[in-house]
Amino acid sequence: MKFNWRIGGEAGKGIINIGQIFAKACLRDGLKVFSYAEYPSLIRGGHNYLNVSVSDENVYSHSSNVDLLLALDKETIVKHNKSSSAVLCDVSLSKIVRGKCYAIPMQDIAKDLGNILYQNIVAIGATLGLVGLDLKQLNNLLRETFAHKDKKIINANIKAAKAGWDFAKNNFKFDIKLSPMPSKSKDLRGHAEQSSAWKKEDRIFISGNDAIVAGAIKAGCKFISAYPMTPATSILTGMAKYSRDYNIIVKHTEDEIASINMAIGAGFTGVRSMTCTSGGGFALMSEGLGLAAQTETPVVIAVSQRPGPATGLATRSGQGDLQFALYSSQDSFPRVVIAPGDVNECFYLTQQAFNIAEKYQLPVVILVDKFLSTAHSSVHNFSLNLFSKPIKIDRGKISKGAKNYKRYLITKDGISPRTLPGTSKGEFVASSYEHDEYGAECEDKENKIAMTDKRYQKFEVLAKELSEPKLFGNSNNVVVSWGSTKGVVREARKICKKDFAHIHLSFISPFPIKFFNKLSKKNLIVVEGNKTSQLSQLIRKETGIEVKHKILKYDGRPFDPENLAKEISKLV
Amino acid sequence: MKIPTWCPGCGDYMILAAIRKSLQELKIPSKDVLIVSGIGCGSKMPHYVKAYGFEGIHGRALPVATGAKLANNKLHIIVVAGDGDAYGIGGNHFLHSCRRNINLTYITQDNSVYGLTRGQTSPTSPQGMKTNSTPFGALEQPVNPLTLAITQGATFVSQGASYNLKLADTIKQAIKHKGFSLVNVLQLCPSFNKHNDIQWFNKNTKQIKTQKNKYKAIEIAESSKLPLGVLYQIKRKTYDEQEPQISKTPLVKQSLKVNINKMLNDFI
Repeated sequence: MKFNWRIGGEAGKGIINIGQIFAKACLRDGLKVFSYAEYPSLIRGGHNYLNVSVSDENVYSHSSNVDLLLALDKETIVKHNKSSSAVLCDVSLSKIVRGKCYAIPMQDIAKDLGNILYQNIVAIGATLGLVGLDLKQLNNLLRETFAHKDKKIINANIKAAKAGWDFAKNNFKFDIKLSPMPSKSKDLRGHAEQSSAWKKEDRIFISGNDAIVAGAIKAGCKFISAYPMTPATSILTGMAKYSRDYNIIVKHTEDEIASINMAIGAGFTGVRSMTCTSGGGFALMSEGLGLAAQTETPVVIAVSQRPGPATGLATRSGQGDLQFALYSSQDSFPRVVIAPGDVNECFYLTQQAFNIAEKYQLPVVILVDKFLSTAHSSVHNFSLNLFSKPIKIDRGKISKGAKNYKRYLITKDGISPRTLPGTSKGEFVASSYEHDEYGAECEDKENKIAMTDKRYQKFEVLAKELSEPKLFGNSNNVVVSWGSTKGVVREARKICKKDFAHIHLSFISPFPIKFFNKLSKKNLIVVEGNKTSQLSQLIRKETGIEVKHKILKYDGRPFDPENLAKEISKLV
Repeated sequence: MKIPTWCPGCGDYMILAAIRKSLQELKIPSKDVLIVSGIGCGSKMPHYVKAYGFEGIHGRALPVATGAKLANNKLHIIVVAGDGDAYGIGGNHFLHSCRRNINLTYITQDNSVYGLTRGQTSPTSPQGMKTNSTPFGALEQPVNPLTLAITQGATFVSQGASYNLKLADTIKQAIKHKGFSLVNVLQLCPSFNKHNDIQWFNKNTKQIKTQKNKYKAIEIAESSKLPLGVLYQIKRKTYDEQEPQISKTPLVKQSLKVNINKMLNDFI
């Protein structure tokens, strides 16, 4: 059974936070949850809403269907009534609802408890009542959320939830019923050998950005310098939140140019370092990106896309920066571009990003977008390592210094052992100029060729190390996605009447050329969030394959599985 | 060690000699020294000093040095930059480094002209100076690096001259100072700045005493004669001192192994 819920209201009234509490209550009942919010680029007065999909089966994305709309203001009804099967709202709003309406005197109940703000909790209680879940998990969450507040406030919240729940139970019938997953449920279990019952700790509810933060911390990242820019800001603030727990230096810099140069300075010195930004900030980092490549300094850059150009749509989603990530900065040099498709990949590929950056001494871009950065998914706790084997830290070739040490020694694999400042007999200059094996500026033509080839040699070796993309299903019709669209395509496969296979690309650069060459006879359908189908262009450039069908979306919103399934079924 | 590629009579030779002399006299092992620069004639400095070096991109020496310092606060980091690099393209980083009071030594090679691109106006060119980008005279008022540093929170502000043998001593004091220290070096550029030669400097500079009072220091910095010596020095906690994460062990020496459960518990 799947339940698609939407909560909407005025920006600044805590709509998203309260919706996430509902989502977490479902998580703790053992259900699978996915949530995604849309909000404008302002602090108060706009319209916010949050979708929460809850199911006993895995759920990989939000849905365009709304089984129940919780409307906390008039605008929510005006905007979402049409796409919703039923509306839950205060009695004062019920007159304007068309179709099924569950009207609750939530404002009066809240006022009786002493504060109109409790109406949000009354509504959450009512939602749980309608779908048949009890209040145990919600009450626990309220106690945790308001632990720092007066006991009276906690009790009033608990009373509010109960009042909403009772009202819904006593007055309404609702078709969709959810039930907590039994404690013996196999697929919720972390370690079978530990216990036959799943435990609360076995599962987490996490966003892409938080998963990147977790991945960076796990990888031993000790330094982040960044400038706030939606939708990447929460990587900076997430690292800041845990900086004292994990001894991380977090520097909010004067601009993005400083961000990347500081991260390079820290990386040069021997610390695992990163920065994060969105397209506009990444534009300012372009020259620094080339600096990392030229000096062969490891650095990880998390870029979360939003629609452009310029300021574009600051709080919306898009996949328009693929080619920007691939080609920004002058001349050509190898850079790695990784596009995680879900929160698990955010965690594991971020760790891999740090290994690649240090092992191959080059810049690595982690390319996500607002959809993946902010959407929350329920997954097995990363510490159980059920999605992937644990990633071992690999710091690459580090030299202890030597007489006549050559920092940029030409080697077979192109990788030269590096020394870290503080090492005797390892002194060298990392220069943004073209340089010889010692690091000295050098303008000889033979040297220029040798050094350029050396940098590309590393890339060749890396390309061989990487595993091939994942293929789901077996069909002549193959949908190709990259980055955040992975989950939506997986949901679309569940509901689409026609069969198709799905390839998800997590590594964009180096590009899996051999893998794609095997697909030249297939009916390829590229799905991506930009106007010009940047991935199709890349496939053609790398393999000569002309992608026939493209499903493109560039309205600032992510794909949804229902509409995507319809589009795909027309093409297969 | 490479042979410097500067013009005969260039002030950079003397700045190089002063840096080498200060490091020798302070007996800092070369493995623990990092010289960071951007792009410019004088930014080739790291190649000529036995130490670790980082010759980055134009205007961005300070952020690279800041990242390096926070990663390994045991290193002695000297940053060198020309006047265009420091006060033009890198001006934003300069004022934030001052207020940050990060423990770096910033030596600026101030010859009031762009040398490597062959003679254009710089942020410290006097108003009216004719260069090939301002053939009819520069219209802007020059930056006063000393006033700027003092007002933005630098804790050691000094000025030297490339032809003056006291420069090494000023640099030594700057290296020893805990916090952001500026040594603005008035520098000769015989190729592109014919206006400011030794005779001009001798006429227009004066030795001064160190001030602790900000306003007195600014008054001296703004007077008609260019001050030489340590103009202003105060004590203030450095940025790196205020980070408990690195109070005992530099970041670079810390273990990478962590227990991620502490963080993940927040997402259960």
